[in-house]
Amino acid sequence: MEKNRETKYWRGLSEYNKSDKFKHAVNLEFENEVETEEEGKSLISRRQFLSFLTASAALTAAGCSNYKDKGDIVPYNKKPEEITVGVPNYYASTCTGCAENCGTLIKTREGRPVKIDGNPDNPVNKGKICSRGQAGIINLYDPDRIKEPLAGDRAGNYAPVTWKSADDKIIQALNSASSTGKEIAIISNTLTSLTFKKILADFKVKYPSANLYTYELAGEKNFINAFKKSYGINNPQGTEFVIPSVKLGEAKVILALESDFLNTGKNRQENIRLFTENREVISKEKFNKLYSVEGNVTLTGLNSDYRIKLKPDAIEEFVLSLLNEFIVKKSLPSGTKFAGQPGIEQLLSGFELSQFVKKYSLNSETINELVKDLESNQGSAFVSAGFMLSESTHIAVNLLNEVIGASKLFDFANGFFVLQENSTDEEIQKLSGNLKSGNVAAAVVIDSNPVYHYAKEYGFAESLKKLPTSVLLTEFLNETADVCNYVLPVNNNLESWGDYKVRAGLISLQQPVIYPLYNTRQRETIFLNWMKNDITDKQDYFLNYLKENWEKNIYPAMNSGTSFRDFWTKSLQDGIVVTQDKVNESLQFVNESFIQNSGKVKSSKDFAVVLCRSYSLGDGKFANNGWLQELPHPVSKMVWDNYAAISGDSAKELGVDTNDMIEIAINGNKISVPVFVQPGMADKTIAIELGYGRTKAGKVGSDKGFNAVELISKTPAISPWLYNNASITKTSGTYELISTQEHYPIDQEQYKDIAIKRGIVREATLAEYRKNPGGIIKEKKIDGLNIVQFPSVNEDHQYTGVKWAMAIDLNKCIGCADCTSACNVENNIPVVGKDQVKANREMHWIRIDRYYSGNSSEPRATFMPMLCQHCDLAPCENVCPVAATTHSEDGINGMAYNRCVGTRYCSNNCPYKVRRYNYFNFRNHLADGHYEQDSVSLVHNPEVTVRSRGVMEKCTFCLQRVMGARQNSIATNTPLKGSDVKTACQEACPSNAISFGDMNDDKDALQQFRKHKLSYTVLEEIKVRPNVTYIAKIRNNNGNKNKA
Amino acid sequence: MSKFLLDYNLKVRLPIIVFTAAIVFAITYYVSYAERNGIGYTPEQPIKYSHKLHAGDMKIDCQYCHTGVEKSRNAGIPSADICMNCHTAARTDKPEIIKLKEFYDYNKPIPWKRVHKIPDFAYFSHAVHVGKGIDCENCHGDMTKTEVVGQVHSFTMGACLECHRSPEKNIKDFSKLQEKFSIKKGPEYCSACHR
Amino acid sequence: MSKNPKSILKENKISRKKFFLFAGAAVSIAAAVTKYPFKLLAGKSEAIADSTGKIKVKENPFSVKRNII
Repeated sequence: MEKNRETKYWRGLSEYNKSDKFKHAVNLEFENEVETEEEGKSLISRRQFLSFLTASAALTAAGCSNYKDKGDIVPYNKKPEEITVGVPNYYASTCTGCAENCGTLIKTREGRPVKIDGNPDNPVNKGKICSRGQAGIINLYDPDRIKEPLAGDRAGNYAPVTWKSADDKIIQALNSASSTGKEIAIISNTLTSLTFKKILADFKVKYPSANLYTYELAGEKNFINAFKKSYGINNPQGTEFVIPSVKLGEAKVILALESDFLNTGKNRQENIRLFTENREVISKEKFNKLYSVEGNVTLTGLNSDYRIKLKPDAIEEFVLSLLNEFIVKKSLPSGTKFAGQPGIEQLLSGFELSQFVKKYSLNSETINELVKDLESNQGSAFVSAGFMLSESTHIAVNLLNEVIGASKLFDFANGFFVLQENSTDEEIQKLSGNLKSGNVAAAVVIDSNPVYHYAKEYGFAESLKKLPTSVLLTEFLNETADVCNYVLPVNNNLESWGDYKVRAGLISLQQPVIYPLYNTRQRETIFLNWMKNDITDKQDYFLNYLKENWEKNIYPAMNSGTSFRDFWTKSLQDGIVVTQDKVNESLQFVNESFIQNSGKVKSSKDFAVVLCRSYSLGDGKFANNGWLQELPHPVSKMVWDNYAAISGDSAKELGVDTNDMIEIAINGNKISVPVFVQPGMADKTIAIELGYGRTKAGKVGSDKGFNAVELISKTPAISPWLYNNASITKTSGTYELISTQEHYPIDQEQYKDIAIKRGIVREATLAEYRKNPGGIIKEKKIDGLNIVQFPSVNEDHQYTGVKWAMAIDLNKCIGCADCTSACNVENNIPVVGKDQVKANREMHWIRIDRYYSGNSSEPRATFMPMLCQHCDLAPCENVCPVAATTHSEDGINGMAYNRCVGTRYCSNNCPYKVRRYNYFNFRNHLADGHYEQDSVSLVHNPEVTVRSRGVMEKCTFCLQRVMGARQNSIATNTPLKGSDVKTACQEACPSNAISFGDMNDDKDALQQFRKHKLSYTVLEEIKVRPNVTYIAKIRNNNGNKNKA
Repeated sequence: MSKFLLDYNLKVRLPIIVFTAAIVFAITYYVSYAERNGIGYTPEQPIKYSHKLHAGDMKIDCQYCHTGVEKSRNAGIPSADICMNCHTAARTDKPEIIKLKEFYDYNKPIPWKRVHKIPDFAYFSHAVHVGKGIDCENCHGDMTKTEVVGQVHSFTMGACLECHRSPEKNIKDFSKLQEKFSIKKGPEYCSACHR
Repeated sequence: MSKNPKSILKENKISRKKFFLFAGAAVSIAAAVTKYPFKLLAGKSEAIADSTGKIKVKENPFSVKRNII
């Protein structure tokens, strides 16, 4: 009833009338025909389309090959006796990455090398090898290697030829050159191989017009010439002599004058070990003192206790002022024989230390302390001078060393053995002239790059191009290859035999660990064949010569008491041969050398330019090595580029800032380089690294950085690597420099000095430590934050058995990043390229964080290796939605790559930001998939997963090595000990700063680190319970925070 | 929708669909179980090698050929020169031996079809298991009675974990091993196999 | 009523059939491209093709290894 009186609504007449049409429409939601005439009929209806789709999918699935097929498993046909599949073999050999020739121990798997480490039996490097040696393994497998001999048209095109045809033509050319009396120029880097020197000597007998020229881009020429002059060493040309090394381990005070002896200097591995052995807080307390006087900011300078900024061209003045102080003013016991010498006193009269300090506004307190220290440490102090300083400065430094009694530290028995001195500047210029004038008929360049290493002034490019025959022996195509008509590929270091002598009393042997991968030959083999023309296909052609040379000329003097065969086998196994060399132990300083040469370098008002060595690229040889290009520069953390380092004040004067381009003009040579404002540079000083800016270095390395070789003048006023008459102007353009340390800058008051406030780095001076050892690591109060003590929400897991932990001693860490390189090789870390590093995506599992403190003109730096802390209460483990990261029963935070879906929540939660995400398949992403090619896959460590796109990775405490040690302990039925495992970073660290072991074992060496008064963990207050303990850094200075 | 249609959908169509889906899933799951865990895969090998003859009748020890099993992660398929230790003289008339000799003389490694394989992201170590005294037949079956090698044990992660969790149920003579090697359980944490 | 829905359909909308045709074509083209990366990734495939075939790894018979490490 009610309903009838309600107002009814109806939409249309058909509803109102309840017609049939309405009833029909009510039941249907849609009109029957959806297709309209306008659309037209299609060929397939929707239903047909879907049925075709499923049918084709089903057919495809059925047509697939047998999904159960697990592939083939193919064993050896004739298995070599030494190889057990899955078990590595180790071979001792020698690295030829530079003229240091460190002994190496190479780990091979299934007949191919996968890791290079130092040879523990070699007394010089004692099991350590630098980043270039570590990362150099990928050079063996680089797809850019030349695989067969090439004939070049000198316009950049190459055609393959056979060895026989190339050798025949070359022998013809050599013979014709010889008979017409025209020179055959042989150009090489420093010669350190005994047997190769013999081969070259025999070569000269066969082709009398052959002349050998050896050079280094940035070598020790000034130091060696100065030493010879200072001590009157006059060896005939081409003969060997010994320069004593320094027992740095007994030095209590070291003064480094523009010397980077801890990183790019000569004898790096030994220097680092000896230096850091004397900076000890753990087992005993021992502290040496390092003063550094420099214009450039080097790693040595940042690790010094006192760093004194001084324009490099004023260093000679400084040395002379010190000499004045020690010879004229005071009279040190070792200096008395120089006092009263008229020439010397006269020279020194123009220099006075306090005036010098005033003139250059140095800190007089520090200088006085330096003088006092040198005085009171007679016989245990040493002054080291950088390679780039002039000969005159080196001579003055030699005199200074005499005066402070440093000659007591000279070690002759283990001195530096110079097999063949490099060619003098005059000889190289004569060569350049002869090449231009046509007096040379043939040139053979052995594994070097004179077209790149010498400025255009020398004209090597044009003159080598004009020669009838120029031959390049090399592994990779380079700038010199483009001007040669024959490019002959040589074996990689890992495929070669050799013997190297760089220290008195020690010969380091080199043996191949793999048969040559391609159609290459050893350089010695090539030369032997040019003399005898009787090469066989067997790979022992040079080996036989080498063994013969040893049996006839070297082995008899050994008095080894065994047959040659046994001696040879044992020597190859050890990698070294110890000889008894007779060395002249008495050296007298020649006063005339000082009187005639010193005092010539005067500092100027113009900019000084220092050309330095590159730690990662060497002389440019390693430009195509992605790992090394991406290794952050130890000081500036720059990747993939070099730059002109300049101080903030000088930059402001020029009106430039970081990334602006400047033009540097010296003696008519000009280059344009981007600027990097480096805290701590001396004013009006610019430092640029050599080895960059190569135009033909392979897919990865070409056109990276800026070539500073053009600045090296033929007739420099001071030294080829140090100029003080540079004119610098700002030019147009900017260039983006990428540094890994500039990531995540936070410019807020709250975060200023956060490294100190949050106790990430802890430092103290030696005096403070001695006074109150337990008080350095105090209970921290963070400004403005109260640490609340919450009860733990986690069940405390009881770790019985082995629990792995690590300790890093910041006193020993010098920030060299060798650990990063070793980790890269061991764990198959991808190279991401400059654009990805800009986006904070570099993939290093261990990084060196550099914390500056003090002010920007006098900074100090602390280096802290940061890696996954393997926290007991890991914040990353809690948040993984798929439980891809879990904690093992031995305390390692592990990563299951197959489970990771790429949420990246773990990285978000990590307080140390040590997790790295694969945003791309980086091997595919870099340089058109250069590192994805077949040969590169051989470098991967087979025990470590190669990660692809979309998974998170991080340090695993070398879980593969832990598992390997577990396996060995089970197989040999011995209990697993902490010392059984050495992580890759620990193995590579040249100062042994990293320790790894079992924290549940009271007898483990790790305990002395964990229980030490200076031990602390980073960000303890967030209570994630990290398992990496750091030992606070002690500096041996008076702690004036704002001064050097 | 009309009440009738909703009712029809709920009472008739929905249960039919759910039931059909469940039955199909269950049948597929159980029928493909063997396929998924690999049991029964017995491929044809390039040379008809019989373990029954060599390991069973002739009683050659497993480790004579599979030399790496105590030292390495991989047990290792023997290289052809191990076969030739005997077969340069033994049964040189048989066709399979002639095949073997051909491979050996022409220096062609024999392309055996792989039977037991776990994915690349799992790292299995033979040395650890053999070192604890676990016999080969626990996972590979009794080879002394096997003519053609096939997979007899499931190699899914669940199967491995089952043995790790209760080794006494899955390993022959476990009590003897337990006292000799003091094994309690196998590792259950992920990093033991997934690096 | 019968006319209105159709005209609404015509305005600025893809018909369902056309949508599915296009979607299916897009999916199949995407699958083909990822499987056979020609044209777009010519550079990379060249690089991979350029690398010489299988590399033979052979150890040197004259080297002497260390016994125990």
